[in-house]
Amino acid sequence: MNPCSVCRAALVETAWGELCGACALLASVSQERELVGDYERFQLLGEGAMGSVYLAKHVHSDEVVALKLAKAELLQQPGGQALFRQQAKLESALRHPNILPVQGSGQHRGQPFVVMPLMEGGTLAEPANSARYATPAARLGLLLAIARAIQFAHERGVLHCDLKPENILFDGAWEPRVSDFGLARSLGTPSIPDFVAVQGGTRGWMSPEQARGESLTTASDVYALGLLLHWLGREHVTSGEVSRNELAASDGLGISPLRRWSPELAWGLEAIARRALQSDPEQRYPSAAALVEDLERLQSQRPLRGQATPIWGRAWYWAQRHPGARNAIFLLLPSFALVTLLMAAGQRSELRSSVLDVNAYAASGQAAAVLYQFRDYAEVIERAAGDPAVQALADGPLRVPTPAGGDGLDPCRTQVALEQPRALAPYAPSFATISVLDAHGCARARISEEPAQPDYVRSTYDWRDYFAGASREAESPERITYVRKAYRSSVSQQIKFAVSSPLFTDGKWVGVLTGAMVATSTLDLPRMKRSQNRERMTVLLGPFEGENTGPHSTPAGPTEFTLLVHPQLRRGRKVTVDEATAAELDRAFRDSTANRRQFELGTALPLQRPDYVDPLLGGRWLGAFAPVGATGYVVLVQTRDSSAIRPSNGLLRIGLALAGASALLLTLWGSFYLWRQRRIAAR
Amino acid sequence: MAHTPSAANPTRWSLILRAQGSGADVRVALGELLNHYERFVVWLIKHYGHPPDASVEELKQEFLEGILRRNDIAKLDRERGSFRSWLSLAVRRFLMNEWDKWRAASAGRKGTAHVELEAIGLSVPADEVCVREFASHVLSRALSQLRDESRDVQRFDALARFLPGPQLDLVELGSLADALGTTQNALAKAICLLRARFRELMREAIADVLNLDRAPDPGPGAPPPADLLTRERVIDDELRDLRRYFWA
Repeated sequence: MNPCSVCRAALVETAWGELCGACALLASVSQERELVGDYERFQLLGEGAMGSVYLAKHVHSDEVVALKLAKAELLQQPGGQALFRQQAKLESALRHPNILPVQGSGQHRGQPFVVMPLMEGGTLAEPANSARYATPAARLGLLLAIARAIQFAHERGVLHCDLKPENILFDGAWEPRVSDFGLARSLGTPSIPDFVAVQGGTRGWMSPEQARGESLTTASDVYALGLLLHWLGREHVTSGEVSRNELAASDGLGISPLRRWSPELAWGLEAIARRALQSDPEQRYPSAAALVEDLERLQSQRPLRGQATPIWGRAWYWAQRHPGARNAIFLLLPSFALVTLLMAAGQRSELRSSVLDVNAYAASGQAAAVLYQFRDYAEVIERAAGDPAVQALADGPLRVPTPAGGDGLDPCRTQVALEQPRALAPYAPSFATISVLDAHGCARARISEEPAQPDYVRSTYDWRDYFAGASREAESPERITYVRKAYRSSVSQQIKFAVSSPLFTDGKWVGVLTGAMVATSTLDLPRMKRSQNRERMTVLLGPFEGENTGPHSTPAGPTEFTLLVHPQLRRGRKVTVDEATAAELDRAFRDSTANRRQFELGTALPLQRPDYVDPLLGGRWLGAFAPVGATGYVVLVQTRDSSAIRPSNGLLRIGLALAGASALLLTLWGSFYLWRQRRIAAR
Repeated sequence: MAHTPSAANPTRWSLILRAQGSGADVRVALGELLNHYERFVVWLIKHYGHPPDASVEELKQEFLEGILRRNDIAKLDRERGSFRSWLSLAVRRFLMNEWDKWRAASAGRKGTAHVELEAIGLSVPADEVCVREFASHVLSRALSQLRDESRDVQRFDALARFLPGPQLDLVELGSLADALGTTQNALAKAICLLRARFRELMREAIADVLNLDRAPDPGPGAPPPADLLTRERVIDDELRDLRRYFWA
């Protein structure tokens, strides 16, 4: 059996292993107790610059305390004992919840000592305590408590000069207490023994001026607080000093660990640490009080004093300080955005509906105007058709008859010249072209703005709707002039529409009188002309007669509507509306066109198309189509959609801005929240 | 602090010397001395083993009466060893005689008696070792009692081996605190309180062995009475005396 390493006595085998019975018996001898005053000294707890701290127990009250005995080395120095007493007196005067109090003091065999409460929580340097201060908020609260204690000491003219994790103790309730003011000195009393000066401070925890042995100010403790902040900023708090290399490696002042520590506090912590750790004391916080104020501001999510806080930082602080308002914004902003967008959508719908209604009224009015215009044309044609001189142009043999005529041979092919059109002259100004065809469809006379082509006289026009329609009307007992379908002129290739009437001589149908107008941009209609602009316009549509399918025949297939009056329509260009619109127009106004009395105002309601696409201008238009009597022609009044809904754009922009802001805010906040949650989980 | 065994116990020997003297004080001193060692004698009888035809109490009485009758105390020489060793040797011889008597009375049990006597005469350790075992017995009993009082048995088991020893150095204290998931100060306090209570239990055990009366409570702040101081000194002497045997 091995002997005891202390007394060399034989060890005793017990249920708890080998024990030294001799030591146990000696420890039980009351006369062997190590008494310091009324305290029995038990266990060394730590060594300071000026004294050794022991766990001790009061012999009468059994109170367990920490007892600091002056070091023999100190007492050997001149004035060492006085310095120890002075420091004890100084510490006794510092009564603060976060400063370790001195309960009493005394002297034992010439060795002064002070008695302090035992801090069962140990020191901040102990790993067991790091877990208790794992969260950024807890660490910030800890630092704030320490800084307040230092501020308290500063306000009483006391510098600590040896602030480090080993000197931050925790009581049973885990309240931090700054301890070991062993190196503390009153401001303005720079003289301290050489021993203390040499031992003073701890490497790695001293300010530059303290390391150089210069006179100290409160800024020196501020530097130590900055180091402590940096030390706490480590990912995992461990014991050990903050090395210069560590400081130099990160951003010059060792700030980057603070970002890992607490992203949400990072900016503020960095700013505080940066200022506290300035090499020049003049550049640091002037006192712990200023540092405390900034820490409090950071804790209460307010901008730091004397620091240019970026706008996002201010916004973040504000949101943290006013969670109710923040949540209200998060809730109300999207709600406002939704309501505003819904209002904008409703306003747009109303605006479209309103514009369509207005256009429908306008289209009805314009259709009536066009109908009256058509009636004017028809009246001219009717008057001309009743003129015997005009009738005579169609009657009688061809000027140059067929030399060897025969059945089946087109008589028009042999004609070489037209009749003199003097009889048409009085009626010609109303039309682009006025012409007389005989019963075969051969041109007999013509007055036109366009010069006749050489083969005009040898052509047959019996397939034209203006001839075929009029010839059909000739068989009717009524003598009615009709507006015929639009067509492309075989002479000028321009799009025209015509009014025609059958010609009779002595009750015998002899031919057809036709007055044609050219499809233009305005048709020189004054009432329509005024309404033309790029955002709102009136358009005249007419049924197109289709391809040549022979005399007295009706073109097969759906009705094709061509533009006859349009601001952007060039002469000779055939532009038709899309098939869907044409089919819809055909369906809507079929009943009205079935009425043979063309110039009567119909009862058909205008057709509204909120998604009409203009074939010439493109884009979305709000179109209202109104039938021109029973002519088959249609007046369209259209307003560009973007122009119609323009009044709602303001509301829409507000709604979109709110929605954008909401989305941005929620995205940023959500991303930050998720990122923070991951950080917390990782921690 | 002395860590070497003292050659003699002055307090114990002053009592012995009083018992060796003359006059009325002799009987008192002798009575006090035997009273103090009465339980040690019991422990020795149990430890060595005794014939089955007599109880421990009967043998103790017979032994003490023999000492008084023969005035053995008067023959004690301080230079020849400790009183406890002498007492241990005396008990052993007494028991051997008792075994002889028992053998003579019971011839059929001769073989068994021989075995028992050999156990006493040959296998039993020296008297110093026997006293050390007695001290170890007191120590273990105090630790067991402390364990019974402990609210955290596991924690006690982890700390028990540190109770009798010297104070821990800071490195040892720190590593033990880490292992137990506590702080150094909290651990030091726990050990301190256990040590203080262990000391109380040890002293009570010694007081019990010495048949000392319970210590009177002087009351808070009051100076301890003289008999209390004497009692504490007697216990201290006994502890020091027992301690010497660990170097035997």
